[in-house]
Amino acid sequence: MKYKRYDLGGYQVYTIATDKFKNCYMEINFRQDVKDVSLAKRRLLGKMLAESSLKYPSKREVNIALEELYNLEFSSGVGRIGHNHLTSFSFDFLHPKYVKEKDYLDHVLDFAFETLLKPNIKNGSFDEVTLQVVKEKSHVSLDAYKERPLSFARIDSLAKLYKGEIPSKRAMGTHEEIDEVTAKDLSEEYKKLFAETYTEILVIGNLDMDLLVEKIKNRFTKEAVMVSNIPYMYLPKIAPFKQEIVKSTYNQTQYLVYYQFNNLTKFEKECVVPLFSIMLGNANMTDKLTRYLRIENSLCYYCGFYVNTSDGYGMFYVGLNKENIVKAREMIQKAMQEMIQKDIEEDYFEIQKEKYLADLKIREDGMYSLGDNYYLHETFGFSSFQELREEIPKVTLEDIQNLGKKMQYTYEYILEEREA
Amino acid sequence: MKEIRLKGLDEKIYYDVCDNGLKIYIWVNEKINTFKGSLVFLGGAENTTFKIEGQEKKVPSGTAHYLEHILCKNADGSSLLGRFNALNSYSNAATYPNRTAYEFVGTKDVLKNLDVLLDAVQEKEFNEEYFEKERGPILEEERMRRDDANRVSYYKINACLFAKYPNRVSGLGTEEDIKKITLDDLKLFYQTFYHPKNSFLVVTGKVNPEEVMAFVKEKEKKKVFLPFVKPVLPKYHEPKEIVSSYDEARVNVEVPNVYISVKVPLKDLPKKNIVTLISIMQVVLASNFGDTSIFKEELLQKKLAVSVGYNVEWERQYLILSAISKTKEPDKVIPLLKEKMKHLDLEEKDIFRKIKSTIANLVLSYEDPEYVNDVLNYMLVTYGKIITNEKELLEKMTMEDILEVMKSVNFEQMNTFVLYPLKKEE
Repeated sequence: MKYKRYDLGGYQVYTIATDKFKNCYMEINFRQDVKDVSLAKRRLLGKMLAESSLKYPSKREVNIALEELYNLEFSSGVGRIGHNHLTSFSFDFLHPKYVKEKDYLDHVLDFAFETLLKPNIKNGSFDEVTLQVVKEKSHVSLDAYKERPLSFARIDSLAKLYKGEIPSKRAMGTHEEIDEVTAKDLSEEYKKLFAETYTEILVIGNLDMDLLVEKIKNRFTKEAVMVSNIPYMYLPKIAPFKQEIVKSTYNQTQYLVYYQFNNLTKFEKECVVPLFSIMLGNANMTDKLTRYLRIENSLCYYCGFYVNTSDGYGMFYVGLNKENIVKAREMIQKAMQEMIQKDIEEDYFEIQKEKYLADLKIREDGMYSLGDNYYLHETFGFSSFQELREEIPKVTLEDIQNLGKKMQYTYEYILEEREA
Repeated sequence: MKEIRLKGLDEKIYYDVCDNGLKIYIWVNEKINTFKGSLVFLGGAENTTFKIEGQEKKVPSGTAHYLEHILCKNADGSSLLGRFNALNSYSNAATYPNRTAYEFVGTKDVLKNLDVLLDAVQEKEFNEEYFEKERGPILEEERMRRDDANRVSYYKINACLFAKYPNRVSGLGTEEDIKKITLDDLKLFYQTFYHPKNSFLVVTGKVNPEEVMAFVKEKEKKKVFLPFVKPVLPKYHEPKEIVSSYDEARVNVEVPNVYISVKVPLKDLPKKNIVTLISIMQVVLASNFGDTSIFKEELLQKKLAVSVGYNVEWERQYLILSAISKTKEPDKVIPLLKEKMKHLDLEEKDIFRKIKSTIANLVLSYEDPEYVNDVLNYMLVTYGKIITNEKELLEKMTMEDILEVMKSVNFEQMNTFVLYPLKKEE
């Protein structure tokens, strides 16, 4: 595997040359401080660009072109890492050696950059009919989380815990914000996408990357954007403890418990947090949470501990009968206390470290996880897989204990099942 | 050890059989770190009645699934998954209608992983205490599934389409079923279906095939099993007619979901390989309801639907063709979907573009050991063998084949099912 970064003035290209995969992947990311982004507009813009272009004026024509390119997979998405808002366009395509056409790679690149650089804008405005279709889909997508109890609980609890702050906001915006966007607004937003964002292109595959970068340069130029660094951590204000009980129409109660933190070191975020989280709630049925909630007390089918280091919280989640909440709370607190009191067998700790190192190898076998790690490494200075392999063995039980002490129990959210 | 070559894909599967009848399939990818192993038994959620040496046996619905949970426990009640964890691997198990699979994913010591898997699943000692303790998590799993709209629609639609087949009831069992299951039910199921002759092992990824084959064969040689008495499974005489042409349910969905399903008897179709028949149905439905169809584009642009899709299922002696849509206006969309289903367009250009992209997907699919393992499992259970000429079948497909097959489809046995959001007051 060969990693290489190309600085091209207005944008960067990160490449991973590897023969592990039969397909190749290109992702174009536009990055900006979330405070300067209109969430609904940016997301609708991404969808509009994926929906049509001057050459392919309808979604159907886009889809036909994708099939002609041997089922090239193309999508747009929005996301956030700390204060960084990302608008991404991804292209997943067959390695050129598997197709007959000699200029297949050129066709793929033509498609990608035509989509981005020649949008379906006429008379200063995107197509109104397409916008209405995209808005309709967006309204439905925005509510899709309500169909799954755990997703509902997670999104609703974040909205209540972080009221009005960055982690409480959906990357799609709100229904009202979506309704307000006009086809003209989006052509203004399109200009901003190029004028105000950092742009990074990630390419993975068994390709001659120098040649590929030349091909990209021939198709895409961009002015450099001079803005200050955007923090990749959101530092939450640690709130006083509160509890929320919400009634629902679901068959099962969701019980969520939040711990917040805002002063972790790089080593803690990247090396201690994963091990802490595994031993507490994600160790293939051997973690403390599963042992106390499921195996010893038969309270639930699923439970776990999820950590979002860039937003500064850890969240316990359990699906259970509401009558069992008191017992579940007791068990969660017991598990957490044991972490803080270093009540972890040394052998078990060493096994989890080795397991985590093995997980890194599995992640290196996945094209997207491989790309994510390299993108985060080059963009934000996250540790590479190689650096993680060197750092993980250094984590001690004292590090685990100290991390536990930094986490503050701040919020409990109960999404109650329907009455029988 | 034999080699099964997959024509046109430059891939091969290593194959052998142990003395006790356990079949082994291995696919190698040297370029990665990961491997996956799965031990599969041909007994699953639908096997609730069967005959052993002429004697009728019956277990409650959910027995296969309960057994899967119990087999994932060690003798002391702790989780078997912990033993894989100690080998730095992941493991899991799943109960399907016709099979139960136990699997691991790791990056080192594949032989140790196989050692744990084979011993734990093939040599089970049952224990009343941890059997009872597992009932709580299973009941919670069942409650969780009740909120799963896809699952609700799957069983409801099957109940509309099939009068006799056992796919109409949840394989997990109802709350009542789960409470009825005894340890003796589990033992009976285990003794009946968990025999090497009724199972296969698939290992994929970065492994040495000779080493894996030799290890498993040697290990299996030392194990003692009772002679296998093949259970006689019920023969279902499923009528051509559907049970009902319309049904609806209310669950936690935000927008109504509409399903139009057609029951097509295989015996009405031309005598062709089942893989060819399924592929033909898929490309035809894709060109009519998929991302490149004019019909779909019109429904979206007129704001009648937010999504349109399709599905093809093979269910014993029938194929089920479905058109699916999320729509706020089911009353307007249902007649349009039904009409379209009855008058499918057979545009050669569209269909062959779909075939081309299906071939591209097939080429790509032999890369990820987890995915390949699942594909081999599916083939072995569904077709009873590895399909070696899938690419060739697609490449050789002609418009005449497609027209011949589609001409013989009768669209009369059509069901409409709608999943509505819960009423506000609920």
